[in-house]
Amino acid sequence: MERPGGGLATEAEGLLRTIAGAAAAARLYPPTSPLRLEAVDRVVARSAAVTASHGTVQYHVDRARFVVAETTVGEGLPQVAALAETLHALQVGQLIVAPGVTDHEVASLLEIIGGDARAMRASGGVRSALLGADVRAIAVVEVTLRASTEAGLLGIDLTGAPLEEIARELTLAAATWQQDALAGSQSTDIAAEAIGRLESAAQDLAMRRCAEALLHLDEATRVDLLSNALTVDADGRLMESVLDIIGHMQPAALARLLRLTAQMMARQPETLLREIELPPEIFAELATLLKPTFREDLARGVPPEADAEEISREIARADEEDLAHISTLVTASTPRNAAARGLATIVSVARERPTEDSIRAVTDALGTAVDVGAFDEVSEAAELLSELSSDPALAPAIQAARKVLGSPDILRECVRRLSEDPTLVSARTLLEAAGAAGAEALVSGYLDAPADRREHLMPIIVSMAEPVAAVVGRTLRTGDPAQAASAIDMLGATGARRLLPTIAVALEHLDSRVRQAAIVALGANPGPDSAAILQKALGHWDPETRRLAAREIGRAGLADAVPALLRIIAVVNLFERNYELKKEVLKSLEALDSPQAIPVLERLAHRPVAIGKKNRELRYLARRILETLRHGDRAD
Amino acid sequence: MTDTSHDDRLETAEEMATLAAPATRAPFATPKRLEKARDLARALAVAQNNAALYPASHPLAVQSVQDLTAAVTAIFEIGFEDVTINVYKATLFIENQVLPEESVTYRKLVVDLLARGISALTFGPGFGESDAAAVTELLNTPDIASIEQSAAFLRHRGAASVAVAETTDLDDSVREEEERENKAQGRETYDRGIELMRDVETQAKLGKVFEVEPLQHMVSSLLDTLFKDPAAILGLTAIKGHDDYTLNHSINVCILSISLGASLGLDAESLKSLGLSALLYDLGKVRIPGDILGKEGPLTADEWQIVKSHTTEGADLLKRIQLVDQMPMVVAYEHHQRHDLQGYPKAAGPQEQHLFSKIVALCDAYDAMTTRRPFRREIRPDKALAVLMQGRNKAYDPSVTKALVAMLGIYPMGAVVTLDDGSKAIVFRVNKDDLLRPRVKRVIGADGSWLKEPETVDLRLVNPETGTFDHGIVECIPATDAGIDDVWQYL
Repeated sequence: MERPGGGLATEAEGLLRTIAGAAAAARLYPPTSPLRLEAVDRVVARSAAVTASHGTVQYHVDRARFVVAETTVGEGLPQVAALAETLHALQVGQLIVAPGVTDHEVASLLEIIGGDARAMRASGGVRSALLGADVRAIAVVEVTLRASTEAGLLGIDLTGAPLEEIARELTLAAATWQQDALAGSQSTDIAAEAIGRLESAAQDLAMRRCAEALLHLDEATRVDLLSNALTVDADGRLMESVLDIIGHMQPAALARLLRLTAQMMARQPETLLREIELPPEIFAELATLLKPTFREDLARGVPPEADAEEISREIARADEEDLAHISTLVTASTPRNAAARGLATIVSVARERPTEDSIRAVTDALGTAVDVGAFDEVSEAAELLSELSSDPALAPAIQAARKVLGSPDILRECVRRLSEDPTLVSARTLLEAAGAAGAEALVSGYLDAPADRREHLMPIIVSMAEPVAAVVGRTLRTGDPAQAASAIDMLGATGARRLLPTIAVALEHLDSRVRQAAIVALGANPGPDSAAILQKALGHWDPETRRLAAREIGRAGLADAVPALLRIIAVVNLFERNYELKKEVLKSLEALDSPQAIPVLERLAHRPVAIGKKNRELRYLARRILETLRHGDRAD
Repeated sequence: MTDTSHDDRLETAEEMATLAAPATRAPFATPKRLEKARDLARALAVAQNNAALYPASHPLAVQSVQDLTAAVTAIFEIGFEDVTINVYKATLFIENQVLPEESVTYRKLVVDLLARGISALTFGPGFGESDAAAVTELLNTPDIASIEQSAAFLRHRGAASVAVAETTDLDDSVREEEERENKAQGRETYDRGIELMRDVETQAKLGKVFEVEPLQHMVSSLLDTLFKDPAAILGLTAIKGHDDYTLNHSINVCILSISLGASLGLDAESLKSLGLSALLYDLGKVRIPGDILGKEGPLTADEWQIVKSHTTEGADLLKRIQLVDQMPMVVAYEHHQRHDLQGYPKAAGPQEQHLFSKIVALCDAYDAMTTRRPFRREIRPDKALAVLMQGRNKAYDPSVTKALVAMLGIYPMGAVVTLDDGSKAIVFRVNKDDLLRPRVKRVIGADGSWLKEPETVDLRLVNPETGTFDHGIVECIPATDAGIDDVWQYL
């Protein structure tokens, strides 16, 4: 059975065009002309292709067109129309092309249809001419007005008669066979005779039509027909033609027929199957189809019956919850998710198969995963690399992967994400794993981050104090002063004592902004260590740094530094212009509110001579502070 | 909306909705929404009746016009921009929702609409009481006998928010021609896909890198046809190749997956990725010995371990192929992990399967069950769906499973069914509003004789005399048991 509107009509039309072209070439060129031979070759090749795909092709010839499987072909094509006219004039009703067409057969056909139509009809017609030329794969059915002189199957054209008529005659033929067989006489296979009378090109077609005709019978009759044909006659024969015909049925239809017939005859379908000659692949397919299935289904957990109503009700109950769940799944299937899943899957595969190729795949997937912020998965990949790092065979691949993990872009992205979400453990892990490079990215990311996000980075800066200190140390040595100052601010903001030595280094920076930042940072982290550094800074070569140190000591309330402050105001050096420093020291002493300062302040306050306005201002300040301290004592 | 534009929509839009949207997204999927559709039918019928009995100013007539307006407004409030009442073969539909009881109860409404040449009556934005009054008047004016007269009457009455349309034979023939073309185009893509997958398998077996671009083109082509004509694509899954199961199966799973993905609302890019994933998810099997894969008897523990490794093998094969994204590899790895994560390979964490893996796992199971293999028979589609439904919450995601069943129908396209008159038919279109009553093509008569031409029957249609359905399905049977080999040709 062909597909309606399928490829048959198109391919059959193509073949017709080739035949029509060859017919034209046969008219124009002598038999030995290469053009004519080429045209014949084309027909052979084309017919081989078409019959390989569709089997025997049957054309019904009309006055100016052909019909294939109820589809008109060649309409409007002048050469094909001319071929149809020629065949029509030769009283050809059908043209049949079977597999295995040869050069000789095509050349003979062209020769025959190229001759005079009247003479051809007079000499017996195209069919006999073809038979005379030993053409087997091409056949024609001539249109005749003469009624058949024979009755039954022998009296009808199996290639063109209505299927119902064929079915009816086949049924009768099989019934006759059975009657004769049951009567103990030799039966006659009328169907075999009817088919045998056809040219070989038409025999296959006739059997296919007979098979199709059987489908138009009601099932009971069809089963009867087969069972009749399976009755053994006096010579021990079956009605082979019917078995050949049903061999042309589609496997499923044949399997059903065999099953029902076997049931009726109380036989096993397999035994019937063995009576039919079939190609091995069809035989195997039928054997599968005839296997019982019920137990097999149960064994596979398939219910004996499906409760369609219940399933329908279940589906109708699909509710908002289902919609919401699906919506969540759809939303989650984003490119981000794909990249993250991709990396996670590759990591799983690499865990099972730790090959160089797997590690390279991990490396390939890292970039995309980081781009989409799949830090958990990237972190998992980093862990895998650590696990496999002891394998020397994988060392180069792991190194390459780590290079990607340590790439500034990835690390920068980690810092950015962390500045947005300080709980992102995976990004933190990655930065920590990257060591110095991570610290580098961290410092630079911190400096670029908006003020309100910087504090999110503090925990990781503290946890990476050592590499961070190294980065800041390098910035102090080689970096831009403004950057260096910001980096020192950053260290100060951490409150980490481990970072104080680095801050102390900044006190020696040539740029005052950096030194100032260091002083502020030290003041922001009060404690014995920062106090010691600030005391030391009181002796800094830069007066401004000294002054700032004095101020920070007071502001930070570093009482341990009081003696150092007192030393500054105790020394009287007429040539030293350090009024500003001393003023700052006095203010800090006031802030520190230490009774320890009273004796020194008394000396300064009661100094009889104070030359110059600034010295007098210092004396005045000392008196005032002394007053405050004493008042404070009394109050205490 | 113009009169003619609607004609074409009558079935096409219905089919689109049937096949491209899950049941849960059907306009009247919930009982509450369905009640609104019924209210509208009732309101229209009552308004028509009252307009025939009472003058327009009578309180009952006024009330019924107000009720009709309120019923339309209520439907707009649940998200409709317009709402269409369709009459198809004497059966009443609101949008694509069949109303079997109302088709009988409001017989007069159906008859009066058809008498005026109206197959579709659309209430659009701005629908008000004057529009409602015009419609009831139209249905009670006896001398209107054609669609043109009906449209002119509404225009004259200034009913701008009401449109009428009819279905013509011409539209049907154009649509059928388009369907034929789409079907042929789909088949061409399918066959090309088989060849492409054959090449991919060969290359993969040889350990060579294969080209992905042709596969991507193929998926795009399937998607193009899917968006134009879902049935043309979904019908292709009825092609069950017995010679080269793996190739047919991969294309079928691809088609089912993209159809399900589209019905779930995935965008075009995601669908392309899903399609490619569904083509390649089982590629790892090229590394499993054929004698184990094709073994008829039970597998030994070692053999089972080898078979199970195909997921990791697949991911391993795909991990370095240059793809648009890595979903094919992910799906190859995850497709047997199951919804409850009790499958294989063992899940690394509690993260559930990716949506694509869930979809492919379901479609894989469905197509595998409904395909005959040398060592086992196929399971008929309704039973296969029952098995999937049984596996909800265990092997399969419950919501996605329901969406698959809603998309395929209880009797999916290509299913062979026995009708209540004993004849055999092939399901060729699923009716979204009634999954138990698809449209079928009857091919074998009750006596077992094959019909010369298949006869199309919509099982939703109601017999106007008895008020019952004309035909119903008694059971679904395997196509081969009915003697039918190639159901695709009927779809």
